[in-house]
Amino acid sequence: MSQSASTVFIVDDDTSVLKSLSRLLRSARLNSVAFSSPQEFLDGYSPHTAGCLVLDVAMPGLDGLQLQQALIAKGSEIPIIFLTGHGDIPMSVRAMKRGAVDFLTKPVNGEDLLKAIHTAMETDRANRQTRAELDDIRQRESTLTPREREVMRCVISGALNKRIAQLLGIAEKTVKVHRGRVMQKMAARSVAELVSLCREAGITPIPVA
Amino acid sequence: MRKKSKISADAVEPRRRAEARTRERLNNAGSKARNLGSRTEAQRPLHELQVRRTELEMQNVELQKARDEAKASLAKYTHLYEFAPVGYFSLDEQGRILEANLAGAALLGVERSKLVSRRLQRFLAPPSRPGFLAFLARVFGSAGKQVCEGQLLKADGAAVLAGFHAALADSLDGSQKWCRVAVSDLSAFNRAKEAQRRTKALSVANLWLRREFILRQEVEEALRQNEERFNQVAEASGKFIWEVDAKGLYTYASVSVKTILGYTPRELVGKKHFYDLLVPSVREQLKEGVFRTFAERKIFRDFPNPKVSKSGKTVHVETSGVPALDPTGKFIGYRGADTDVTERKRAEEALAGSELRFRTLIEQAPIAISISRNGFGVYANRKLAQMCGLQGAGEWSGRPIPEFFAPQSRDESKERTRRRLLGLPVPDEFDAIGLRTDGSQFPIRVVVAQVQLADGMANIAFITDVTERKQAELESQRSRAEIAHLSRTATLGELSGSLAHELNQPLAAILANAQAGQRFLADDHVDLNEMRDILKDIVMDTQRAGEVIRRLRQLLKKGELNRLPLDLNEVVQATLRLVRNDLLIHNITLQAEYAPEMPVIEGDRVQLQQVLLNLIVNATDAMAQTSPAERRLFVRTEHLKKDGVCVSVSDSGRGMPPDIAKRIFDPFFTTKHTGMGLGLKVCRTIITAHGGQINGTNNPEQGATFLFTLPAAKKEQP
Repeated sequence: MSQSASTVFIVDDDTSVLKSLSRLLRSARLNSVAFSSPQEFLDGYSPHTAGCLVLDVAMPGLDGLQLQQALIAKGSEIPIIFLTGHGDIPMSVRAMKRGAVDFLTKPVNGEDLLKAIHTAMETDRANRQTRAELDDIRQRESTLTPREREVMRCVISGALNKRIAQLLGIAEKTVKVHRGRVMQKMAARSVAELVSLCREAGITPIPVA
Repeated sequence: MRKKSKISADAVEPRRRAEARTRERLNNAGSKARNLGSRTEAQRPLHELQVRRTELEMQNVELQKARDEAKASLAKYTHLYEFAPVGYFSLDEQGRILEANLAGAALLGVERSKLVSRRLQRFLAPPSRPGFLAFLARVFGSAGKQVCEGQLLKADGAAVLAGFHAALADSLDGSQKWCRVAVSDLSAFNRAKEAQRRTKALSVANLWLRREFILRQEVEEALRQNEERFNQVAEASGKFIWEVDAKGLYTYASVSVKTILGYTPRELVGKKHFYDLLVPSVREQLKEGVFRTFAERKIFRDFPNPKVSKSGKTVHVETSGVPALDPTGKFIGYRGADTDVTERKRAEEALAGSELRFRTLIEQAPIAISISRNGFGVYANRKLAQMCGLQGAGEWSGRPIPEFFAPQSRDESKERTRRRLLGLPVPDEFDAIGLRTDGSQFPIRVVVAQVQLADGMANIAFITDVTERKQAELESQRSRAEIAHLSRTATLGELSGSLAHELNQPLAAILANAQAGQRFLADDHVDLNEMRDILKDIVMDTQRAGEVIRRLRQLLKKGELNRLPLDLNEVVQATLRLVRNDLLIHNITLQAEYAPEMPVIEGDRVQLQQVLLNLIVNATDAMAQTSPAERRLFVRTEHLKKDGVCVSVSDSGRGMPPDIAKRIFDPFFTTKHTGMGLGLKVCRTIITAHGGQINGTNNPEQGATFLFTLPAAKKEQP
């Protein structure tokens, strides 16, 4: 299973909870790494590792929500499942808004937790795929010369070669050459595909009135 | 002739004495003589001769003696003559001076030697001369003594009145007639006589004077006393008593003028006119008026006139005066008194100003003000008229005060008036329901004070429409209740939160472990070691959960008391202040009674306040069904004999049914819909922690009483 490649990170200041949760995950054949404090996790975690995070809310020092924020700041999109002794609504809303996968109340039912973990894993996988695709497009885009990039941004705005030439102050023939290279470098078979790629990568068209 | 006869008579005596002497001589030779008797005849002429000789001898001695006597007598008379204080002159018929004594020469102021042969009349003033010559003629014409007076002119020209006494002297040889004249200085005599007369008169006068003096002294003493008394009175009365003559010049000023105008009486009397003291700006005008009054001899009273004091200050005086007449009824001026009214005038002006100010202030005040007396309205200011919908203040005066209250507040109003009339204490601040003229009611707060007005005691009341405040209070009461509820929930929430967390951790571990075990067991291959670890962890976490609960219980039981020395009376007062508004809103009459000299206790102020609040809230809730007039809360502190204190909270509510009374301190027991059933339980926990006891019982008649006791703080042991 592809899941086995993923890791479940557990952060809880209570060692016996940490231990029992690890044990529970092991019983479900999940890889898990336990951290007894958020800081410890931050220090040892690499965003490249696929997986999800099971996080206790109430902890001394950095609490669960603050860790979530720190991860977001770091650009990590690791899905988080919160565990709390007494879940209160405002707190869970805040956590969910920031992209928490679930918010579970202790003592947590094993099935509920495992289900949440699976969901989180799926989310992570999807996230990672999207990110990989995006990285691919970005990589392709990075091979474009500045002029080609300009031409591309004009093309995706739907402008004709003539207009692009006029706009950029170059010959229409030159536009055609650039355009051909863009399509080649970006591995786009049609303008529609190019537009879609650019949209995904967040490349904006140059408006041509 | 007389002299001759005398000599012959004298001659007889020597003869007789000579004969007697001769006889003695003969008798001494007696026997001889008798023996010689026979020779008598023969011896007779001899005897005669012997007698004659003896007689002559004796005469000689006599004569010698007489001559000595005459000599001494002459010396004496010469001395007398020369040094007599009277001038003696011997004059002939023509007035020529034959002889003069020293006094005579002195009288005429001429040396004696130069007087002889000069006519005495030459020394007389011409007018006196004819009289003198006539006097001389009388002297020489008769044998009697003559007297006359005349003006002597002394050599230095001074005139001296002289008296002349003269008598004709025997001429020594009968050829020349002369006389002796004694001249005395009559001016001296007259002076002496005058002096004597005057002395006599004086002594008489003196006597009278003495009498007069004594009388006058008495009178003067009386007068002095009178004056002193008068001055004192004048001084004390603060009035300046004066007299002026018809021209307005001061003839008398009492010493009190110094106090009023700064002048001494001496500076005024005879020196200043009354108008000199008037303020220059009105001087002429007033002067004219006063003199018109003088002319009409009118009595004037309290005539205001501003004067200038010596130091230049304006002094407002009021002057009263009456015309003064001498014993004959002649007008001699005025006498009267000035009263200093500066202070009074200032006070009056200030009063007039302040009255206006205060009237305006009260009338325009942004708070409703009423004045009432004996339960009847006297005055209402504009704001009050506005508040009650009165047409004007006139609708207030004369009306019974209770009419301005809504029916439910009237009895209280009447009661206040009754108590006030009886001199019983009346709250100076109370809430009531006011009544507008349109019949609508509004809550008011009244602050009332008894004041002494010019026409007697009155009540001045400040009335505030508290509709808005009441609403705000209700709102705040509501929000307070909400907050209280929230905080209670929050406390419980927090408690349950920490409880949950503390318990959840082991529970979570237990659950995870157990479920992991189940999963492992579902596998074909069971790792027994793993299972052993799981069970071991479960046991451990279960124990841990148990520990949490034990610890929590301990925590709750102990509580953390912040023990400090406390004055329980003060704690009660502070707590009552907190609930005062709530009680008012619930129409509960609060009565508090504090024991004097409460011993200091040691305790947690906040917790004790919590207990009190709890009891008061319970009491308030218990009276929810009681009619508002009967809602009474009675809080009382007591000093217990066995060194402790007791606080009781009694209500007039519904009381506790017996089955409930038994369970009130049980946790989670409640009769309230919204209650948690923890209040009294907490109270008991707190009081027990303080070493005291708490109990609740029903009152014999109505309601219930909760009381708690606390021990007094232990005195520090050495």
